[in-house]
Amino acid sequence: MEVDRVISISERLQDLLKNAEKEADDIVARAHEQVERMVSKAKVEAEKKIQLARLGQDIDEYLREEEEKVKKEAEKILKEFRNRSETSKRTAEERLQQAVELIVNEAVME
Amino acid sequence: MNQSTVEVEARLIERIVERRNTLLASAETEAENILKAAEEEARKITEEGDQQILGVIGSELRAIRDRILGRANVEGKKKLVEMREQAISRGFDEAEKRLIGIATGEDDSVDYWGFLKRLIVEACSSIGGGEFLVSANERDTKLLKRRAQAREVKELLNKTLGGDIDLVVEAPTECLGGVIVRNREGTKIFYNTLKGRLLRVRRRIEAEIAEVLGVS
Repeated sequence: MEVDRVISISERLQDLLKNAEKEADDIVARAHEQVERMVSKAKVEAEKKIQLARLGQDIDEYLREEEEKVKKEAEKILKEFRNRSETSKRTAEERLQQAVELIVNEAVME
Repeated sequence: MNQSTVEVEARLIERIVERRNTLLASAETEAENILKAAEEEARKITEEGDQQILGVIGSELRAIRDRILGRANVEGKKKLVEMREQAISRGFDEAEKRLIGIATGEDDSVDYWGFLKRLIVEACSSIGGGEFLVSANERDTKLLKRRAQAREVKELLNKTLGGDIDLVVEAPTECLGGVIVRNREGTKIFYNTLKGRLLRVRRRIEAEIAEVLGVS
């Protein structure tokens, strides 16, 4: 009697385990399906964007991004010019008297 | 049901439940990893697509780059040129102040009378001939009209140019110093004013002055 009971429980537990294995397989399978959808969607979208770009459409965002990037580079260039200008201005101020002497001498001795 | 049977059952249930939980947890982890890898792959696909698009619209991107960077370079260079001009002009403005000081006698580092004579000789030599009209500012005109000074200038001209040179001092004109000389016929004129000399000096040695000022 007791042996029967243990066997019955054992069988039910085996079923539980089988169901769990199936459920686990389903989880992984669902993940794979999701992956396929995800990758396929990315491919389709990328291809669509490439085709539109070839027609010159939907490229505003790329152009805007490039413009923002290049504007930052331009700022750096202007900053370098400003620095050069400031440095030269200081040097010119330091050497002003030397230049004035030269000009006066040239004007008098010309 | 004896105690040992219950214990066996309990252990069995416990083991199976534990196994079930492990199986499901492992499946969840595997699914998460699969999805993460897929997200990465999708991101790569999008990135590669973007790269291809950048290649397709390369000429538009280059145009943007050239336009913005070109403008920045032009603007920057313009600022440098403006600064250079300002620095050089400041040098010449200061030099003009010094020359005014010399002309008015406030600055005696240069013998102005000697300088003025030289300006007249230089102008007459350049024009050529034997009859000249000279004009200067009020102060210098008075000086040139004084008998002793007039004789001194005439002697110097006779000696330098040869012959009997005729020099007429005209009515005063507006200038900082120096002279304007013309021939009798008025066909040749030489501006040997301080301003005129400064202009010629600037044309001649502006690059050298820029070099001295460190703005070349």
